[in-house]
Amino acid sequence: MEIQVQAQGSLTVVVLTGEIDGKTAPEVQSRLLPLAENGRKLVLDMQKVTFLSSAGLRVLFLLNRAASSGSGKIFLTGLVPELRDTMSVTGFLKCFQLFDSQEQAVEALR
Amino acid sequence: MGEVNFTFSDTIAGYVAAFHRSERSFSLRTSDGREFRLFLTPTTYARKSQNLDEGYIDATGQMGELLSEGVPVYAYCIFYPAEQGFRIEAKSLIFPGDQAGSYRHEESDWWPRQVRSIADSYLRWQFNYPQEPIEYHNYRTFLHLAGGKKGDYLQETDTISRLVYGFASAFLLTGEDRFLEAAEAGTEYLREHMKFYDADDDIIYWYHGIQVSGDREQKLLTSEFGDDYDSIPMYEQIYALAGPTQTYRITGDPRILEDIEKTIELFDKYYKDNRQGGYFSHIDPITLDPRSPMLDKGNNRARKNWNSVGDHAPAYLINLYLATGEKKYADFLEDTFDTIEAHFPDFENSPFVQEKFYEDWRHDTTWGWQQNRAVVGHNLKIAWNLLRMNSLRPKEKYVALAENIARRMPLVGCDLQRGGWYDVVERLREPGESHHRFVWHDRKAWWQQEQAILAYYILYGCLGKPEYLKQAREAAAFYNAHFLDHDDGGVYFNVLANGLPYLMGNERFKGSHSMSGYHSTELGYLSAVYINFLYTGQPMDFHFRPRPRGFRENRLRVAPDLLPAGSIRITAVEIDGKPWTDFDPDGWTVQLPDSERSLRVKVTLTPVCRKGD
Repeated sequence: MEIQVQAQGSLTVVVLTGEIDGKTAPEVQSRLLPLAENGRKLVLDMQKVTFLSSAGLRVLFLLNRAASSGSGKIFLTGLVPELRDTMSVTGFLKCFQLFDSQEQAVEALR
Repeated sequence: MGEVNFTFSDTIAGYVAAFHRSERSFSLRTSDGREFRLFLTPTTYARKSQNLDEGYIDATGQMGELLSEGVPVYAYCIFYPAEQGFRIEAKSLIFPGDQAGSYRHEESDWWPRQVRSIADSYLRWQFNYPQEPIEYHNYRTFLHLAGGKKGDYLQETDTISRLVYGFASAFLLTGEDRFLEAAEAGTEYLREHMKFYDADDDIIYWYHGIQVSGDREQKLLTSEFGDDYDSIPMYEQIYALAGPTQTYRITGDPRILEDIEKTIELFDKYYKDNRQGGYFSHIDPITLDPRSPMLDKGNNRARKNWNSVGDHAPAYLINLYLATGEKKYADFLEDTFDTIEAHFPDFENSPFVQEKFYEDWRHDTTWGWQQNRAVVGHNLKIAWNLLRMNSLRPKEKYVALAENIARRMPLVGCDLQRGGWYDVVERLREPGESHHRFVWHDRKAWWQQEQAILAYYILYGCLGKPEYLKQAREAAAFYNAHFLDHDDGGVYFNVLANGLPYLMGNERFKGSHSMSGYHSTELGYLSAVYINFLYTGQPMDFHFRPRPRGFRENRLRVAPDLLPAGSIRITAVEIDGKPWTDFDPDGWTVQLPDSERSLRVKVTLTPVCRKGD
């Protein structure tokens, strides 16, 4: 699991690469929760995420809650069709704000 | 130390020992046998206990007749310093019945009427029913005293589930369609909005709740309560099943059963301690590990407690067994009560059970607010549920522990001066202390009264000892005299020690996390069952609406609770208004006809004998 964090103005863009599962989810949580809690808008670029387990989904929910407890927000971008389908079928997709790409998100949220 | 030479007011509960007509006074003997002389004044007034949705029953003109030997009464008095102690003048009286041994709450339809009223109040408050349809999008967790919404946008899973339990129970007792509609709509709402299906493990867990904002909703995965923050507490998962399970008893909807089964999979896979027994109280939201260091934040790492070990039984597991008759749930129940019996008693040190544990069952006396403290109602809840379990798989140790608790509690958890049961007390007395110290206050919460009422009625119903009937009657009389809100509907959260409602802060609410129509309707449903079936010998009707191909083998199980074998029989069944004869009167099952639509089933259960016969 690779996690790249870049500040872009008032946004923080996080590029995630690899699988988010029971093994890697705690690392995602520990790296991103402090960012979500500091009130910034967080764009999670999921284009290179190849697998999202239930533990991964739970991390997304925690991040979303942590961000909204302050003035922050979470946005997902670049979900590959398989992930999008999984999240759609299980009803999770509507819980997050989505953009097709990182560029679109950055442009829209500036 | 200053003298008590000022006036004050307080309640005395007891039984009339004598009426002194010429002196306009009477002697009142408390539950524990102390006697007080009370004087009537020209402005003393009296009422009889009234049910919800029932008018005020003035008894001022009947005081002379009602104040006869053995009649129970609550007297609210003013104490005036006098030469020898105090002169006590009664200003108002409440009579739970109108003669010795007579209690209005033992009328056969008292509790069903109360449950109907409470359920109707919640329909009105939450949904503005019947003016508007039952729409759970409008549900709110917090309700003011009069039922108005507080303006929050939080919907808690447990709180909805508890209300669903209330509606389902109201339908079981009354057969009135609006209650089933509300129960099914609530169950559906929980399934659609609160359920997290974990495809990796094929298990289900339930969100703490959702924040509703217009058409958007934010899922709250972890608990928002301070005791449980940043974790998934077992308690919430257990109570998420309360309402759907009670609804399943009525309809047999297989989707509900699947949700329940997959939630129990969660319990078995992540909460259960297969090595040392019992269930952990919290798991980490990401790893689902009960031993995660993340749980240290709330002091919840590798802990067990009453809720995680014992609350399965009353919240959903007994009802699940009643609906399915499955051996695996009977085994789960047996394991639950064996675990309680093995680890909770601590009578060498305290009359109260131990409620908090480390994973190896060492006593945890350091946790949060609990420290080394006892919740009186949890002790009574254990006694009540042990007696239920004893009807399913009798064991001497279940009865012994239940009776041990039942004998001890009146002396340490009950107010023998004013009536009613206390809340949280220190488990140990310091040297020189005559009473276990109250942790925060000496108020009395509605749900703790429930535990006492159910514990002592079932103890009496199953064991027949008159001291249990006395406790049961006193607890139920206090509850019905003081907790019913005749102005706004529903029941009060707390009353002061003297029985007057306490209406401040959270305790002013009718729809909080723990209120929400659960304990009050559970009390009504099971009091009706215990009193009518195990004591007064009155038949009752129960209502079901089985779906096509719902219950396995098309067999409807109608036992109203875990009751002693042979205590009741099915004496009549109607399906869609017509008599139906294919039932097992002593096995408490009805063989349903094949049907492509839901059936209206009414079952009459009749006690085989009444106490004293």
